[in-house]
Amino acid sequence: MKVLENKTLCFHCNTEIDGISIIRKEHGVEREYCCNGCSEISHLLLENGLDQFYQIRGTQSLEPIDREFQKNSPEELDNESVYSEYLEKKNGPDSNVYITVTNLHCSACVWLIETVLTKKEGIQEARINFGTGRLKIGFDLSKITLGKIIKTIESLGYKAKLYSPLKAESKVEKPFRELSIRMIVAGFCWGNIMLFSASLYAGYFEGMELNIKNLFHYISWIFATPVYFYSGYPFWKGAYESWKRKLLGMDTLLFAGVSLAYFYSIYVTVSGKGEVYFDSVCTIYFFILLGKYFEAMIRYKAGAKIGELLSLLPEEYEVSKKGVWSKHSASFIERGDLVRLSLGSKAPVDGILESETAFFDESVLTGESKPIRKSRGAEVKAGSVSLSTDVKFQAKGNTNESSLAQIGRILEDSLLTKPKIQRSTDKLAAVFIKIVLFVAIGTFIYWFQFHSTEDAILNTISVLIVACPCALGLSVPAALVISHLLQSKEGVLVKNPESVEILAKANRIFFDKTGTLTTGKLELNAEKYFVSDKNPSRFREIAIRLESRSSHPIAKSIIEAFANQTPEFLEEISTDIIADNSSNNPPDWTSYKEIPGEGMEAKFAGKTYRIGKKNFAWENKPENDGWVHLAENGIPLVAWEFRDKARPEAKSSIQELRSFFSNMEILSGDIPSKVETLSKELGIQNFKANLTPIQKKERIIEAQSSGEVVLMLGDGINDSACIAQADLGISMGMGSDLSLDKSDIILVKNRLDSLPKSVLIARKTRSVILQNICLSLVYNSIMIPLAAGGLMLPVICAGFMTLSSLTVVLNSISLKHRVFT
Amino acid sequence: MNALYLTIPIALMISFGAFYIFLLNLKSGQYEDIEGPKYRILFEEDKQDKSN
Repeated sequence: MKVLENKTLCFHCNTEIDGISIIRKEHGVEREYCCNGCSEISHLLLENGLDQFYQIRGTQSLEPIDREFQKNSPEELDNESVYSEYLEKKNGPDSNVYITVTNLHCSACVWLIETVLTKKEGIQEARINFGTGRLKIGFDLSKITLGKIIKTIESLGYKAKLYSPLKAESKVEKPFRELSIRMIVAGFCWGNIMLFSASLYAGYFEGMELNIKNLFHYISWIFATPVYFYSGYPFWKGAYESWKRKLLGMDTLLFAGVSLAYFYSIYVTVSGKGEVYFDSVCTIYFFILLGKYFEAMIRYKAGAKIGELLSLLPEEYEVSKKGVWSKHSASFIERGDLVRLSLGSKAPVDGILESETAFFDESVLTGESKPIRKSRGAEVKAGSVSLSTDVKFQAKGNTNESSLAQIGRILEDSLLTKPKIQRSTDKLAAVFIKIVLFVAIGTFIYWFQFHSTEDAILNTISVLIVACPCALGLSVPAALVISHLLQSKEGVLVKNPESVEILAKANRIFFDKTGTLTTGKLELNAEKYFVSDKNPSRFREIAIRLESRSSHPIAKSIIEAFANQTPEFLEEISTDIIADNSSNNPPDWTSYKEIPGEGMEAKFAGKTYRIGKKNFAWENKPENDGWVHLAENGIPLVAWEFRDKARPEAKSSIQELRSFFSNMEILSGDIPSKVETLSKELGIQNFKANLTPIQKKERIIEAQSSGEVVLMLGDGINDSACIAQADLGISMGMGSDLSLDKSDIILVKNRLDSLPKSVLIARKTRSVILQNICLSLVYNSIMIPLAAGGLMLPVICAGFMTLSSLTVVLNSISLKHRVFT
Repeated sequence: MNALYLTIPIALMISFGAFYIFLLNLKSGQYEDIEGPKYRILFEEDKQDKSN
């Protein structure tokens, strides 16, 4: 037992024990744990004689383990399609597999996983790459299965996900690697050519034997050629592409300058008269590639971080394979399987509708957000969101449209697409390029007229090189990519690249209450009966039965709140949900319906049960008392009052947000008294209670029409309309697929304190972008006249140009320090 | 000074050769995990202690 500031720390994960501790006696020593997960892992370690893990770990604390997260089940992983996708066959039964382990903390974790795995029979090799967290396992398929390996890693408390190096390679890693090699080649040649250049410069001033000078010219040519052709390939391509579209791009200018320098130098080398400028070619390409390399590295890191965050979002579907229902992740759905969707969840694959009728939101596919009614036999398109409860359909193929895959793709695009601020910079750059070309031509004519051809060519090269608007071109993307990376480190996924600007400008924020400002975990506070038959467990069973089909966070926490009282029943119902579909045994509970913002309805033995708000369950008056009512055929049975706590981090987060937003407001469907208590507790000035989703949306429109830039933070299906309406919609990571879909920003870690950080990052990003643009304009307006006046040699121009590019990139990188200090 | 005609090409060949080897190593993935080895030295020792 460790005591720190009078708080007990968990023996395993070294975090503070909040509430009840679990005490377990191991080898005669009593140890306290924060949860069962920790106690089990610790037990496992001691059993296997691996307790030196605790020495390696030291005083570092581990992330508390979420046992529920373990979504891989061994049977799922051990099938041919997974094997063929992820296994790398070696000889005989030996194979390699790559696994991404997500929550590694320190070297102790690496040691632990490697040691435990290599002790298993059948595993020959297990090695984790410290940099990427990727685990490579060599194992004998006849002795141990893939499922068991994953289970072992998960039983240690880590999140494991299969990883296919081939698939990832093509997307991000390959271009990144290519760019690094181009940069390294340019760097190597640059380093070498400068040695000879220095001699040539010395020779220029001190005199040099003509033969030696010629030799050095040829050697410089040898070094400059791979740089010009191989390292410069991206610029060739860029220049060619802008040429094809009849545009002047940044690459055009750069390429024109460098080509002029390169070919003029070849002419000098061959003719043996004048000075060469091969070193300028190398300098400029090397440093620009260096800038691009930094940018790509951050992009690559951001991409990896995004992948990691995506794996934290919930994704599970009820799937029936050969008549057996169980929960699977989307990638295990195959042709012919039945899939069940709850309200607000997204169809992971294309399929044929099996339910009588259902409503879908196909806005992701068509842009039209009107609900579309479909009847049995109609086609369900992957990506469309179910607006009905309990929709069944038959899969027509396997997935690549699951909500995660989709969000992943959107995010990948958002790393590449240009937001408005970048488009306006590009326009500025286009004007700039025209001016530079004009100046270059003017320079050439002037020097040609009044001096020599050599001077004319030289100074034109200088102008073209020094004016390369790369700083302008690099400044915005570099800052944006870094802001992406910082956001993802905070657990914030930015789906829409425009968000940075809106987030920086917004002055009003609306909050949903339940599940957003509060934990959404309900505790039973009071209970009142309307009937003489006071059988709490029967009523609770009905409630659980009804809510089990709802995806609403309140439904989930009602089930949790009641589960303590009726644990056996809960076991039963989960097997029930799975079993009630076999066709020869018709289910007793039918026609589940969920009305967003109101409640659930279903039929059992000819009776209609409703659970939810009072006005929905039995009384047809627009009145809401904040209780959850259960009614049978419109006759009230019982009502429960639940208490909902504010999130522990809510108060401090609101405090921080106050410095960014002049106006904060809670929009809630709950009763005024509850909303008021919360708004007082958190210090939010305004609140509106008893709102329907439509009224919430109207409130947002009202605020927008008064010229305010509005943020909306919500989580549930009933918030999706507001999230879509607001200038910037933000959703909590545990929200429904629909609200994740409509929002621009997702707080994946499901914590409110990510938001103030995110706003701060956005504001700092915006100021860095503006600084960068100013910097590069100031630099150019000083340097271009100097170059045109013949005051600078091309290589010095190249030096200054690269300096400006690097300044901009480094300024962007400094974002990191500005945000966190 | 004529020696330069011999020594410079030799120097070039050596440096290009070394660079080529570096590129080969890069492609074989030798630089992919530069963090791990420093910790691994410590681990291996511990492991051997256990098996004894």
